[in-house]
This record gives sequence, structure tokens and C-alpha cells, in this order.
Amino acid sequence: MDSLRAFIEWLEQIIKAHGLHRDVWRVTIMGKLMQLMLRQSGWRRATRRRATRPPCSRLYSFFRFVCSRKQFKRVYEPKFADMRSEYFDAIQSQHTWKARWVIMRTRLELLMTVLVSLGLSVIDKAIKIWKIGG
Amino acid sequence: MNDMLKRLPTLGRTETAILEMLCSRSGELYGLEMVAMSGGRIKRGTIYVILNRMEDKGYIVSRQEEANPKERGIPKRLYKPTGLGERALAAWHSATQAFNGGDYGLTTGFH
Repeated sequence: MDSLRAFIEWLEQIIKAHGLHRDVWRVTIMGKLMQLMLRQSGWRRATRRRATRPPCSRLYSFFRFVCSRKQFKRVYEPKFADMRSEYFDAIQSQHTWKARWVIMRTRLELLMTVLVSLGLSVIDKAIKIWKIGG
Repeated sequence: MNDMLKRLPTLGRTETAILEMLCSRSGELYGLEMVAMSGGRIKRGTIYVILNRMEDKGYIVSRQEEANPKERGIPKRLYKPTGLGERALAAWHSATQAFNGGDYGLTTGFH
């Protein structure tokens, strides 16, 4: 603590020599030192906690906009519901890595769902055309 | 003959597995529950596409679960079999049994 006081006095001498306002510098330096000490002891700012959008909310909006209402309600919305319940379960049990993996996996599954859905609809159309032709 | 064939229900392997699970349980099931129960036979990426097709065919019906006012989020979807679905599964089972046992249900003809 003595060395800290000596350090501050030394700083004040420098500030005085350069003609700067003493109190302003003292407050600033002490504030910075306190912040550094608190950060070292594991303290985090309360302002870091903030409300964020649920995961994949942009993808959810995109699919709701692009797909028909029936298709979205039956195919894509349950997928997002599953993902969110799994994600929040993982977050609640403090498994951050699992929550990240759930998001990654859901994105891949959505891609697979889109491909399978498109493939099946193309096959259905082809069969209908073939039946009309036959 | 063609009209009869057109009216016959068609069941794929995954559809059969889904109907078996739904018929074996008296209540309704979620999509994710079916994936877990299937032991890897049904994939997570394709389950809802298949369920959608089955609903179009009239084998199953679905509804959204009641929203809990305490829990916010997207409500899950519950599935249960229809009468047609149960009949299609029963027909598929009897056809499989007959084929495997060599009994085609015919007493006369075809020797």
C-alpha cells in the first residue's frame, strides 16, 4: 500500500511539473487502479448481462417468410421448437459447448430438411406429370 | 384393377416405423421423442418432412400443444395416428406375415 501511495505521489509530481490539474488525474488513476484490482479478483461488470435474441431467430424469420404457412407450421417450426428446448436445457445446466453444438447441428439439419423436402416435391411433381402423360 | 391399386395405401419403411411407434403408445408423441425411440432408424433432419407427408396422406394428425403461460417459446407439435393409419399398418403387418409364412390368404387357385 505504501508503494502504491509513493507511486501516486510520484505521478502527481510529474503532473504538477507538466502543469496539469491534480485532482482530475488522481481520480482517473485511482479509478483505473481499482478497476484493475477488482478485475484481478474475478469481478465482472453487471452491464455485461444483456437481453439477446433467441438462437437462430433470423433463420426462423427467414423460413417463415419464404415457406408457405402450412409447410412452415408442419416442417420448420417444430424443428426450431426442438432446438430451442434443447438449447435452453443445455444453457440451464451450464453446458455452453453443448448449446453451441445444438445450434450448429440444427443448421445442418435444416439444410438437410430443405434438400429432402425439395427432392420429394420434385419427385411428386414428376410422378404427377408422368401420370397425366400416361 | 387400376382403380383398386390407386386406392391401396402405400407405406415406406420409415412411415411404418413411425406408425408402429404411434400405435404402440396410447397417447400422442413429439417428433423428438420418436427420433429417440427409433434408435437411429429415423433421422432428426428428415422426421418432420416424413410426418408432413404422412399427414397429407391421412395416416396421422397433429396439433400444437397448449401454450404454457409460464413458459415462453415455440409450442411443440404432437402427433397421433388416424383410423386410416392404423388400418394401413395392420394391412402391412398381415401382408408381411403372409409373405414370410408363405400363406397368401388364398385357399384356391395359384398352384
